[in-house]
Amino acid sequence: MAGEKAVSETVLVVGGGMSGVTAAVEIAEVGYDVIIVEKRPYLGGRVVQLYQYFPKLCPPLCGMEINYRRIKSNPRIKVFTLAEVQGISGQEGNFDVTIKINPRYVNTNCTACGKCVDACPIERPSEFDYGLGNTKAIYLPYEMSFPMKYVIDDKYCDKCGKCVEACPYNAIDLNEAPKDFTVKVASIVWATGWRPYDATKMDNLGFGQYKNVITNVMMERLAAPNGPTKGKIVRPSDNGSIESVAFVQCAGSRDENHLPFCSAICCLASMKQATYVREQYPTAKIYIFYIDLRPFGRFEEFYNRVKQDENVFFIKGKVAKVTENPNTKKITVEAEDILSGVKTRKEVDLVVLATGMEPTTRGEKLPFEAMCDDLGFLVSDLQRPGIYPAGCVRMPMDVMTCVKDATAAALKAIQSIVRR
Amino acid sequence: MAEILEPDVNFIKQIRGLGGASLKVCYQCATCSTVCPLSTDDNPFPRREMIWAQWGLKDRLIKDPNIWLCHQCNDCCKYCPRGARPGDVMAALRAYCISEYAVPKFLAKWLQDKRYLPVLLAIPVIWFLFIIAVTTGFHIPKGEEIDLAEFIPVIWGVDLTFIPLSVLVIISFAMSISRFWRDMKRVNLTPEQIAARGGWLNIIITPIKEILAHQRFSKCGVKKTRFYFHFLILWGFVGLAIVTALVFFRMDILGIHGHISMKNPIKWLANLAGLSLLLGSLILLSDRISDKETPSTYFDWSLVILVLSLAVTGFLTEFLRLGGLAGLACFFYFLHLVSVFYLIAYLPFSKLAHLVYRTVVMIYERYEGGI
Repeated sequence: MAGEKAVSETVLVVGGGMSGVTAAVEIAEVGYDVIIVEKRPYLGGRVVQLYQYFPKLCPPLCGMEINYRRIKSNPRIKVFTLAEVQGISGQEGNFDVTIKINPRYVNTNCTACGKCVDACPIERPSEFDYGLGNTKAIYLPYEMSFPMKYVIDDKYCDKCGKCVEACPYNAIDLNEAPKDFTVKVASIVWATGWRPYDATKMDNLGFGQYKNVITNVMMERLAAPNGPTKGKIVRPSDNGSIESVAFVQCAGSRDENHLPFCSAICCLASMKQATYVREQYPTAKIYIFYIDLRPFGRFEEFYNRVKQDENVFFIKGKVAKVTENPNTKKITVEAEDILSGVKTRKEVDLVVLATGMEPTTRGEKLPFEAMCDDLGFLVSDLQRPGIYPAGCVRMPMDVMTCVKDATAAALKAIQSIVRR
Repeated sequence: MAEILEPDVNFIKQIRGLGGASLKVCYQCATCSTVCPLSTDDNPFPRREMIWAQWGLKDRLIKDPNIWLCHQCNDCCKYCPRGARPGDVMAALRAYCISEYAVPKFLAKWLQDKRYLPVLLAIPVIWFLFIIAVTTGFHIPKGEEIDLAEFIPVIWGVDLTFIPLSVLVIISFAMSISRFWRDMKRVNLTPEQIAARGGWLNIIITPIKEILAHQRFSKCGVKKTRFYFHFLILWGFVGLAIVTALVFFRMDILGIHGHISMKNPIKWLANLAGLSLLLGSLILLSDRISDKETPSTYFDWSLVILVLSLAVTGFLTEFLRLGGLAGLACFFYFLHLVSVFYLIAYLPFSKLAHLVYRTVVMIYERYEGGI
């Protein structure tokens, strides 16, 4: 291949989360064309579902806003939402990629006025809020969505047409059909990220069985001002206030029956979420049950800060039994306190399972011959260059590391164009 | 005060060889202690036993009551995130404990090493061949009613074999258990405290009732089958012990000889107990075969085969005798006596020693905690 000229000078970025968006803007700002393909109807991925993120505990929309600005002002970047890669053929410098775009049913006339939502009679559980709240079948994913357009969930919409009548801009087309097209690209950044591990698979931790057992990603939505409770952390069973919370670390992580690896971020995420609760409830007690605490790198300081809070208790021992009082809906978690060698039980209002990051490639068929490690993470195939994994699809990492990882992948993708 | 731990590396190797091969992968999350249906709040297991085993703390483990309070339900193995199989490690620790306290020790080593099986079998075989040779000279009984006493006289083949043997076994157990009890004991109760626990009688009787009712096995989650086969086998042995006592009374005290009629309630009890033993051992066998995850060591298998052979040779002897096949009946009677010899003579050294150790520990548990 060396010396051969790349047929295309475009890079395909699959996945429009923090890693994908970062790779796209970095590549485009160097001077190459980029296509972003995102499966969801908006960019931002899992990061925009957070309340606060590390290292500075700021709301994620600040960081994303800058990136959206960079995309909007750069004509080299093309964004396709509701899009999926169907097939990849060819090799480095000359890939043919088939992309399918699913219908949004809302076109560029949309001004996000919201009249359609008032007219829509159907509700659906919001996957953005991990099922904690509902939206209408036509909805705006979140207040700073990119693109700023409404979307119809066709799994719930019965095409009654009330939104079409209500829309003053003729922006809704209920007959829109899926589209396929092919692009030629020189290289591909695969940044499809992660999904929270399915907590119902742990049959001893009560998720899906008791309403007051939630996962860490749900806790972010409860704490976020744009979440289902407008940022008030409450018990899901009755929206009541909270006196105590238990965090269950390694819920399905470092566990050969579930995810056999450490997701790296959950310890810090729980400590961060402990601060959310403590800010809202000055007397609330927090119990963090752990196997090992892993606040990596300089986050040790964050751990030390949380530890100083006299209402936060760290208990060494994994929670392995969870029961509900059917009358009060309070949850009792049970573990062996290893440091004292006796069993301990805490009755709490809310249990947060610190579930891990499952790479989207785990157990999935990809549109190319992908090389995954034994844990399901995508690895760079040196025999077949041109496709580069970036972010959490490559290994579990925090947002800051994703940005660096995506920048590194961007460089590799550019080399596939230039180094010939 | 700093405590100096003395790891026994050889001990770790032996535990791994006795079915605890996975013990090193444990990372001490304590899931096992929490999911265990039998582990207590103040003294949970098996998490602590796992780290002691990893550290080779033999002295602490052999006197640890917890290894006997475990009934190997294996809920811990199901939920263990590392595949460390704590339940199997506990079983290996029990096997080690038996050999550690055994008197004489070499017999326990022989029972755990299949190379010694021929020796262990040769002892009863030669003994019974010798008795038959000097008493009846291999006389095969004839006639309508086959009397196996014409092949091996009861006084020699049963009474003078098994009564001295039982005395030896009791002496061996007494020596082992008194040392075990001394090592295990962490508290010394005053007579008032013992009285508060309902006296020694209550301390001893209550756990035995619990064992007979299988209250702990019934709490098992993953290994529900253990309840069934253990219940059948234990009650089978209890029934057969009662039958033996009754027959001994009938023959040696009342002086009534000859086989007992099939209509006699003693015979009903004998057959019922035998059936219980047979059924229990068949369930145990199929469980050992079908459970691919739990390692079955030679130590485990030898007890399964022994119980099965006791039941099978017993019934075959009975049916062949009733069917008039004297030669075959004598042959299986011989095998049955060898099996019984193996059962009784090696009781303090085989896996079946758990009968005594676990009972003693459950008595100790009540003594110490008064629960």
